Amino acid sequence: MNDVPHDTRLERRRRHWKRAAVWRRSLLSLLVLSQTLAGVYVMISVLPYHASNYLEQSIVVLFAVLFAWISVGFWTAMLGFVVRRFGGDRFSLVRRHDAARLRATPLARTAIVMPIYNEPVSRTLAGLRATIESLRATGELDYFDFYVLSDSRDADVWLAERGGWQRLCDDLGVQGRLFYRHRPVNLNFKSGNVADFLRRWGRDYRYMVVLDADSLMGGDTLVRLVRHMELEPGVGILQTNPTLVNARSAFARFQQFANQIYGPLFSTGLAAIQLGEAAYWGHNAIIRCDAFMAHCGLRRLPGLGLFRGSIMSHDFVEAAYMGRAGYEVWMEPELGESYEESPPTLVDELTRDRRWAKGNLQHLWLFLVGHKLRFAHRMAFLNGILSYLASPIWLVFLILTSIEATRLTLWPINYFPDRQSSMFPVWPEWHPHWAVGLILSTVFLLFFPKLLAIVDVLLTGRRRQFGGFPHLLVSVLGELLVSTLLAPIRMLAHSRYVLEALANMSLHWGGQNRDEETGWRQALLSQAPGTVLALGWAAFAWWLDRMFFFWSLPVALPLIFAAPTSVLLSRVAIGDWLRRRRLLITPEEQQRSVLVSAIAEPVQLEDVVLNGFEAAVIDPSLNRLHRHHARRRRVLDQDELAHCRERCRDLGPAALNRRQLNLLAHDADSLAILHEHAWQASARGFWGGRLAIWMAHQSERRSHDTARGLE
Amino acid sequence: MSGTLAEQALARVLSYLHGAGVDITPAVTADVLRLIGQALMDDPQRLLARVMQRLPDHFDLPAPPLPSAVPALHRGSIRYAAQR
Repeated sequence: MNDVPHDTRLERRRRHWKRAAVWRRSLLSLLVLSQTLAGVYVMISVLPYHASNYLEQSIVVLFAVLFAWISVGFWTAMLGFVVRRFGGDRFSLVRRHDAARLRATPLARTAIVMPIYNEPVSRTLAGLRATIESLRATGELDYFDFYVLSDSRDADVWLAERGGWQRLCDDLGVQGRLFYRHRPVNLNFKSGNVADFLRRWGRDYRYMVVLDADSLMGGDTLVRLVRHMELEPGVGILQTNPTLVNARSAFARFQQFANQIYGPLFSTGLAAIQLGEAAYWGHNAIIRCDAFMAHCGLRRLPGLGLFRGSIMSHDFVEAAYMGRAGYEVWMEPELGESYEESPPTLVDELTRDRRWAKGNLQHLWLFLVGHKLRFAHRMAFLNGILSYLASPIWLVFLILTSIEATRLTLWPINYFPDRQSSMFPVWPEWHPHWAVGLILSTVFLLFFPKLLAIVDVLLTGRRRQFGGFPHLLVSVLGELLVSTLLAPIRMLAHSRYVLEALANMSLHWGGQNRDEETGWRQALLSQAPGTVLALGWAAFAWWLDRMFFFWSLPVALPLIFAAPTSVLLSRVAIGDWLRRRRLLITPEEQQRSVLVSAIAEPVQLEDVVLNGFEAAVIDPSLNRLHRHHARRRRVLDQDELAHCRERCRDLGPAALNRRQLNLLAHDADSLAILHEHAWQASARGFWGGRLAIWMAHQSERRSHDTARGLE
Repeated sequence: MSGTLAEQALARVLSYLHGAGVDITPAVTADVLRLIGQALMDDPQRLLARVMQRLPDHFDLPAPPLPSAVPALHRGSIRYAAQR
């Protein structure tokens, strides 16, 4: 059933951008294909037996996939550069309506939903606070409601979330507008959480904006999103292009800089290719609720192994289903004030990638058998799959080329590789200048877009926003070095994740670390397999052939030094040092954006000296809050509840496991009993000690408040 | 010993009242001292417990309205299209 509104104006526009999309995608395909064919031709010429045996044929096939893959990135950036040089994309959705028309468009009820799972509470709520305050400044707050949708399983975390939510309500005066839902059963991960919201309250809103725990969006952007959706009833999802901000560690600062300087080219190019058939990235996007509810339910996959069960990476699938229902999905890089954060360390990025790799590989099922999906969305699936599958392909390519080098060195020359059909010997040929040319062209495809991004910065007069030309240049060179060091580490890790995913190994769904550094022990242990492998490979290459050894170094060296790279990049002190020297500077840091500054040093919650459970027991107002919201349900096992209460009373919460703590935290009577006990306890016991800490903290705060009042 | 306990009781009650949203005025402090005095006469060994047990009878703890965690339900459904 297609319930997309139809009128001639909409149809005309749709035909218009679809023609442009077909033309652009055809051009891209032609460029990538011809470039890949040229690369393959040179590769065949470079190989000693010119792909006349299985080994070399395999090398050529893998090379073709990898070369095509980087060609797509290259031409996407080229297109982005050209579009930006012409002042933007005339087919873009946000260019259809001028500022006056937008201002005159009434808003509609919109829910801003933030699904969270064991996230740092202070940072999460600081982002939400900044977003609400920014919306209030637009004067349009009345159209928006806010939902914190918690899937947190740890009582310490969700109790702190609820306390933080109440404080936010009080501070901002948004009672009845800011809600907190703690889902008792976290079925189907994040997509299940959003679906749970829609089933309960989705009908109350025309739109929802989905935020991640580290998302931040400006009020003006949110208002613009709603108005664009109101003016374009055929659009189901409008995705912004989030910019990375608030980076502290060296790793996060390199990621943030790369995102800010190269991102505009790639995202503009991507948007120009996708147009109304873009992808949804799971957050910082506005969604038409009724269309989403009618068409984007995610069935469990019916296949085997990896392809059976809940869909993990839901966002691409939801965009594809929205497209299948006839709605347009747009990604608009020109919509500003949309932010997120980078994982602080390489370890955290790889932990996230492990989840994403499995989720993206699941899309293979939908890519192949998904019913009536648009071709562009199948390509988006393929793109996501290849972003991880490219790693094992590269790894196998390296293994095969190593075998080829070994064979050439150790085996006698085979003059008749194709014995069946030729009477004449094949002389192995080696064209080093062709090989060098091929390597240089690959390097060109990888790095030229980055140089072009600098040109774009210079041409658009933004160099001061990146600290001035000398600092910009040094920053780019540093980023090139770091990305070169990280590429082989990511390749090896992603290869492992792909194998794990294909073997359908189960994953722990965990919240993301957003502020911890990597220790030496952790880094040495996690990087040891890659380091040993690289050392062995480099030693073998040295023994085999000096030229081969030097050829192996760009991959082997980063793997050998992976542990120190990982540790040093995780250091906040190095990130701060770089910032003090005005390296890796970004526009938000230069302009001191009010919105971004709000999350730079999030306001600590009242009771950081105690964990969430202890605060819920001790703090009178928090205890009252949690008792008020405790579920009114009959606990089946009263004996167990009493037992948990006694242990908690005598030994503290550490004596209980997670399930037992949750049992107590959900029970109003237990919270009341523990509260009374803590306040009557002698100073020598566990609760007396925790109470003393809380009281000292409260006293300090009172003194601080009094001193500020006197000032 | 009882002096130390009385000090602890005073600090504890004042912290509790402040944490519950009561303004700590001289009158409130005087009330707290009276409460501790009564409890000392009554059962000096269990002073902390006595004081905290009697606290609700001596003070009207503020009970500001708590925000509603979620709005009223307005149920809808998610539709699942065929996958193939």
